[in-house]
Amino acid sequence: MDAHKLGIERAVFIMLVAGIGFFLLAFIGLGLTPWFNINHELKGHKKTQHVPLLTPLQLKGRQIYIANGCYYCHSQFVRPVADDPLRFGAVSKAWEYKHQYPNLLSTRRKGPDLTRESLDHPADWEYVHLYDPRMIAPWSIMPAYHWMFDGSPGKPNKQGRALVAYLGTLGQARKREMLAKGTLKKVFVQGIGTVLHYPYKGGRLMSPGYDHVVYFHKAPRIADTRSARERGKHLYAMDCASCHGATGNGRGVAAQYLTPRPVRLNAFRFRAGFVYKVLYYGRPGSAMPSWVRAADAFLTPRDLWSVAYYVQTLHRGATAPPTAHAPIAKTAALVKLGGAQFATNCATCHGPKGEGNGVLATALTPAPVDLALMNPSARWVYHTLNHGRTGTAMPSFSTLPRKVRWAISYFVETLAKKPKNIQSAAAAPRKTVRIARLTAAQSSAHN
Amino acid sequence: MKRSETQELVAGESLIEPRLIKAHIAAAVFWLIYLIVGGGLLVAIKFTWPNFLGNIPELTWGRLRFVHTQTVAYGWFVDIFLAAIYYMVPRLTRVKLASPTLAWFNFYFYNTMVAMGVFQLMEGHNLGVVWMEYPSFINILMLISYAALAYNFFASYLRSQERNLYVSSWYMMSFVIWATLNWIMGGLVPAYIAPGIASAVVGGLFIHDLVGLVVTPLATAMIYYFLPVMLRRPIYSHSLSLMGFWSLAFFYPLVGIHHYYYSPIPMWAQYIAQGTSFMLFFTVYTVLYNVYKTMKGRWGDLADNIALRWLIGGTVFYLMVCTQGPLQALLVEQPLIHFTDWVIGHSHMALLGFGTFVAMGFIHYAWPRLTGNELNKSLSEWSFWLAFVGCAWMFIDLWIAGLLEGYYWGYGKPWMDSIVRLQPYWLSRTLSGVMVLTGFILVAINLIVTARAKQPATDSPAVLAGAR
Ligand code: HEM
Ligand code: HEM
Repeated sequence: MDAHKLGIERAVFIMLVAGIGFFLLAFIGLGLTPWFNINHELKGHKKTQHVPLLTPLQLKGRQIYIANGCYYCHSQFVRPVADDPLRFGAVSKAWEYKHQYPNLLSTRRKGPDLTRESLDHPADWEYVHLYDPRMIAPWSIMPAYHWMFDGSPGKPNKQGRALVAYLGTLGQARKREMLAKGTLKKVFVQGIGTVLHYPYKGGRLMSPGYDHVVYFHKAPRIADTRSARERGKHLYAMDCASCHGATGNGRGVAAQYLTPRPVRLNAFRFRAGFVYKVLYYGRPGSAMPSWVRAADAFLTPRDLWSVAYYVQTLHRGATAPPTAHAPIAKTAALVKLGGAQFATNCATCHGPKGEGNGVLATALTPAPVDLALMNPSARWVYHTLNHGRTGTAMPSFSTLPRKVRWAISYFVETLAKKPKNIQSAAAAPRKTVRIARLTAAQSSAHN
Repeated sequence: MKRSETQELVAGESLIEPRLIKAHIAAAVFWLIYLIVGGGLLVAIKFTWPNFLGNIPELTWGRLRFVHTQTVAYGWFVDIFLAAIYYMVPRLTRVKLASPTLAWFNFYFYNTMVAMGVFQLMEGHNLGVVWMEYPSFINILMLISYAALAYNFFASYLRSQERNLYVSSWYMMSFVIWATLNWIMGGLVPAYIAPGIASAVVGGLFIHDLVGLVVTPLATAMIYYFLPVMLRRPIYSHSLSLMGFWSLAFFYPLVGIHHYYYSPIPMWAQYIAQGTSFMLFFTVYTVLYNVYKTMKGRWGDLADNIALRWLIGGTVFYLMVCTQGPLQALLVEQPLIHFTDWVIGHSHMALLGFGTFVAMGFIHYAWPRLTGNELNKSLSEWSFWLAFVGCAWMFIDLWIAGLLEGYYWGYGKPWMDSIVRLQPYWLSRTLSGVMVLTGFILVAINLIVTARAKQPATDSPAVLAGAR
């Protein structure tokens, strides 16, 4: 009997101290205490006002995000270490997670972090990508979610819409807070649109973590060499062809589901610097992401120049879309007529010299293109005048007489700031493009 | 073998419920193979061929992955742990199970729940708490199982006349309490009570309590029980056992936050987690020192004692995983390895290398005694070596892959580079998985063959050799 009691007593001791005691100790010490610590910090914290309450649709989307295990491969917190802030943006703060049950921080990353996803991609991109990620990124290993669609990326069902609605909320709270605080600004860049800009104060970035921007400012322009174009070709095949088409004809597999459609690259004689700028900023209002800031992109300045040089080689004057009407011959008088018509019909948006800086430009998303830097062929302009561009403010001008349409088209050709370096690889200028300078100059002129 | 010992064994045999234990072992091995075939392997194949079985929502990566991990923890491990408890506890307490009927009910009930869990996850009902993905209704129903286990378990100890409380009993007692408390904490707090980052705090505790206070204690209990029994010599040092147990009980619950380093969780809590994680060196090394001292002079036994070989193989993985653990729990190392395949290597070495190998030691020891037949020798050899080599291959592959991944990210390569460059390693991981799977299938065949064989004499020396 004694022996029995001894055994019991020891058992009870172990169970009370080790089993319950230490467990509770840990729960109180490292569960409740940090929890209350966080609660205390967030109490009366003004920033939490920026955290949106999810709508029922968005909540359902979050549920679908959980059900399909999205949270396993995509983390939702940006650490202050490693490459995190460069890739994914501002370092996560506790207040951003208010109202989240359960947290979706995750412990793995097979795909990129999604904390700031909504700043990178619009809904139409998300739909195509969800429908089949390999339509956009041929080497992606993410599953295809066909069952969230009725047969094509253009027809999401309720699940698809809910999920994309949820993705659209990721990063919004922080964006609002940073805009309110002034560590993030909206800046209009001519020919690009209104972009998010991370301002400086006293030579330092006001939003720590975005040092990437500095890196890009300092990066020199690389020469237009064969090896650069080779690299550009590789990157183009990997990152661009799925939308813009392998030949740059604007008919990649994903193209038909995007609004506005991807630009038909081979109809333009771009300046490399302009392509660089688009790659750097992306094109707000379209599915074209920033290849520098989007979490999944992350190209270097070298890469951007390489792609830009390669894109220049895509130009095929002859493959412009056929028009039903035979071209009217280009004459000086016609160009003059075009100039007058351009001033009446186009300049309010595109600006008097077609530089994308008309009086209405800042109000439009996507912003009007910079015709001078994009340098489209007359045939392409004529085509666009006939059809307009769906998903943008550009209407069809098919009501104008045919002659006038050709006149405008020929006039636009004369606006071009001719590319200096095209097909002259050896003699490429070694100029440093400073994005900051571009941005500052243009925004002060047009804001 | 001394006469008294044989008698003891016979007495022990009469205390246990062989059919119940066999049923649990069979269910556990079934889940083990299921979780590899219907989870791990499919998921691994999809790394290489993402469209494989693509259009069926139930079979997408994000659903099967949780089938894999949930079945690891709650199908395979809990089932085999129950078998081990039903095997060890009656012998340690010298009383029969209080209610075999309840235990049988629990067997059917629990396994139904696990099956239901698999089904629910595939249907997309997921709670969203890491390692606690079953929907809440299953979590609540499973509490019945914990209660049933607790009843039988504590009834045994309450009625026991044994004066000594062997070290395995400490681990098992704490296990029953920890598993229940952790289940309640993990199922309730992160999903319903603690918001946002606080939910991650508690979620982190839950993750590590699951591996540290559920898997580790029961595996350690098995080591402490079956090692002396297999070697027929007592454990080397009682005081080392004490130290190992108490430091595990104290430090393990304190480390959970190391799963969310550099998150917005208050930094002081992360520093504490770093310190306590480092202290686990102490815990693990005391246990293993004890184990290897007990083995001293008997390493030759590994050659023909297959059960001992699985068990010791498990402790070797334990040594490695717990050397890796505290080091990767250092904040300086996290930027490189966190989020990468390195950790997948760690978790496989922990649960597949350590936990599963130790449990295999138990199975290979117990099965001949439960069925009265010897295991097939060459099947045993093949299964061990296939599993062992396959595991080593998988772990090394995943560590290399993880380091590469960390470097690609750290050097600012485009995201896609980390995917494209890792493809060979993922293919190789799948192949290593096939090898491990083959090993376990051979184990299953071996068990079936042994169970079906004609009964030899119960006291055949081969069967009794190595018995307690
Ligand atoms: C032998 C064949 C197996 C294969 C091919 C396999 C494959 C996988 C794969 C692909 C993952 C997902 C990891 C990722 O996201 O990269 C995974 C996760 C996991 N597997 Fe396995 N597995 C196998 C067996 C096992 C076994 C037998 C166990 C345990 C007994 C196990 C335990 C785990 C754990 C714990 C995780 C979660 C990893 C984490 O999140 O840290 N696996 N497995
Ligand atoms: C000395 C003891 C150990 C320490 C200090 C330790 C440390 C860690 C750390 C820091 C992580 C997170 C790594 C990251 O995500 O960056 C981790 C993950 C993990 N550990 Fe351990 N570990 C130890 C032992 C074990 C043991 C014994 C097991 C199992 C029996 C285990 C199973 C796991 C699993 C499954 C994960 C992945 C969890 C997840 O899904 O995120 N560990 N460990």
